[in-house]
Amino acid sequence: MKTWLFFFRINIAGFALIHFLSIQPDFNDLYSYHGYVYPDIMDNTTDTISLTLTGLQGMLHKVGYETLLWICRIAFPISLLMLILGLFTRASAIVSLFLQLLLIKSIHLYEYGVDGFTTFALFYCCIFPVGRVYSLDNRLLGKRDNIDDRPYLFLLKAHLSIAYFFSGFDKVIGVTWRNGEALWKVMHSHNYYSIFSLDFLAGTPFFVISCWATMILELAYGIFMNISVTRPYWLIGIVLLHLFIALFMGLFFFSALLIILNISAYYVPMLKPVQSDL
Amino acid sequence: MKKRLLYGWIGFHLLFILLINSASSYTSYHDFHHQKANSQVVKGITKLMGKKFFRYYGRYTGAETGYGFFGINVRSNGMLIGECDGKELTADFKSYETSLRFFSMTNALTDDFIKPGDTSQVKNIMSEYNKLVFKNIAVTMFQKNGCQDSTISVSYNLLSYPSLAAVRADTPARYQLIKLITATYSLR
Repeated sequence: MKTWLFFFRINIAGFALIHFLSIQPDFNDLYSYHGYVYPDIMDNTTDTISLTLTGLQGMLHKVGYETLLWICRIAFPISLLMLILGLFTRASAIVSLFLQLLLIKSIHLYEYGVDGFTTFALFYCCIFPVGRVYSLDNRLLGKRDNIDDRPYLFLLKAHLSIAYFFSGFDKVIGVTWRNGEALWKVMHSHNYYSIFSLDFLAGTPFFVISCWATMILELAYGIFMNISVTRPYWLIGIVLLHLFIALFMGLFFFSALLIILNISAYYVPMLKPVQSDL
Repeated sequence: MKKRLLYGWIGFHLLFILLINSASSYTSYHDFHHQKANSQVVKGITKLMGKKFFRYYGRYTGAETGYGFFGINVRSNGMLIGECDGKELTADFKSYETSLRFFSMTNALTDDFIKPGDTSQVKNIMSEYNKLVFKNIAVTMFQKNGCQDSTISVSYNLLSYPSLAAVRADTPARYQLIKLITATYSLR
C-alpha cells in the first residue's frame, strides 16, 4: 500500500527535474540580463513573500547575479536527484521546494498553471514520509518502523478533489464552456501545439460534448474517484482528458504532472503491496 | 496527540485551499460580468488571506494556487511582433516549453491592452510597468537580431479566429492578426 509514497517521490522529483532541464536551451533568455525581460525589471512587481534571485543577491552582497544563477541552476537538479534517490529525503525536498519557488518567482511573468502544481507536490514531498519507502535513507539509517500513510493519502485525494471541483466550477459558470466555444477557442490559440486539426468536427456536436464531458469529469471528481466501483472509469476519463490536453493543446508538462498526481492518489495505492527489505 | 495535530493541520490546509478558490471563483465571475463584487464574506476571506502569515503559508505550501484554469472564458491571445529595417522579428526559442512560457507572459502582459477601462491607480501603475516590459522585449529583440536600424517597432497583435458558431454559418476558418498597439523605440 505504501508504494504510492515511493511512486509519488520519484515521479514528482523526476518530473520537476525533466521540466527544469527542458528550459535549459533558453535558460539565459529567461533568467539573465541578456533575456527578454531583465531580472531587475521582472523583480519590480514581485511581492516580498518569497525570495527571488535578485532579492537573494541583494542579501548576499558579495555574490554576483550570474554566479548565484549558476549555483541555483546546479543546486536544483542535484537536490531533485537526491530526492529521487531518497538521500536525506526531507532535507532534499525542502531545498528542492525552496529552489523551485526561488527560480519560478524570479521569472514570475513566465509562470503558468503547472508551476503551482509543482510547488504543492514538492511541498507534499516535504511533509509526507516519502523517504520511508525504497530510499537510500532506509538503507543507510536502517529505519524499519511502520508508517501510517492514510492521513497523507487522504490529504492528496482531498486536495485533488477540491482542485478539480473548482476547475470544473469556473468552467460551468461561463457560457462559452456550456456551448462548446471555449474548447474551440483554446484549440485555435496561438502557439498551442496540436497533433492534427479537429476543425473537421466543427459541424458535429464534438466540441459541446467534450466541454460538458470535461466539466462533469472535473465537478464530480471528488465523488466518483472516491467510490471504488466508479473509480477506474473516472480515472480513465481523467487520464484521457489530460492526454487530450497534451496532444491537442501541447501542454505536455501540465498533463504529465496531473496524470502523475492522479495515479499516485488513485491507482498505485490500490495495487497489492510488495514486500521488500529496502 | 501527534495524529490529532496532523489531522488538525490537514483540516486547516484543505479549508485554506477551499477558501482561496471560493474567493477566486467569486471574484473572477464578477470581473468577467463587470459586476461589483460586494459580498462581505468574500471581502472578509480576501482580507484574511491577505494577512502576512497566510500569504507566506499559501506561497510555501503551494496552497495559494487557484484552479480555475481556462475558466469562465478562455482569454484572447496574441503575438508580439517586432519590426526593424523592414524585417519582421519574433521572440524565438529553442525549447517549446520556453515559447509556451513566453506566450503565457505576453497574454498576461497585454490583458490591459485588450480590456481598457479600469482607471484605478494600481491599474495605471501596472500599465506603466507593462509598457516597460514591452520596451525591454523590444530592445532584446533588436539586440538578438543584430538590427542595424536605429529604431524598432513592436506591436501586440490579437489573434482572431472565427467562433464555432461563425464557422458553422460558413465563415471562412482563417486566422487574422489584429494590430492592437504599436510602440516605436529609438535605440541609439
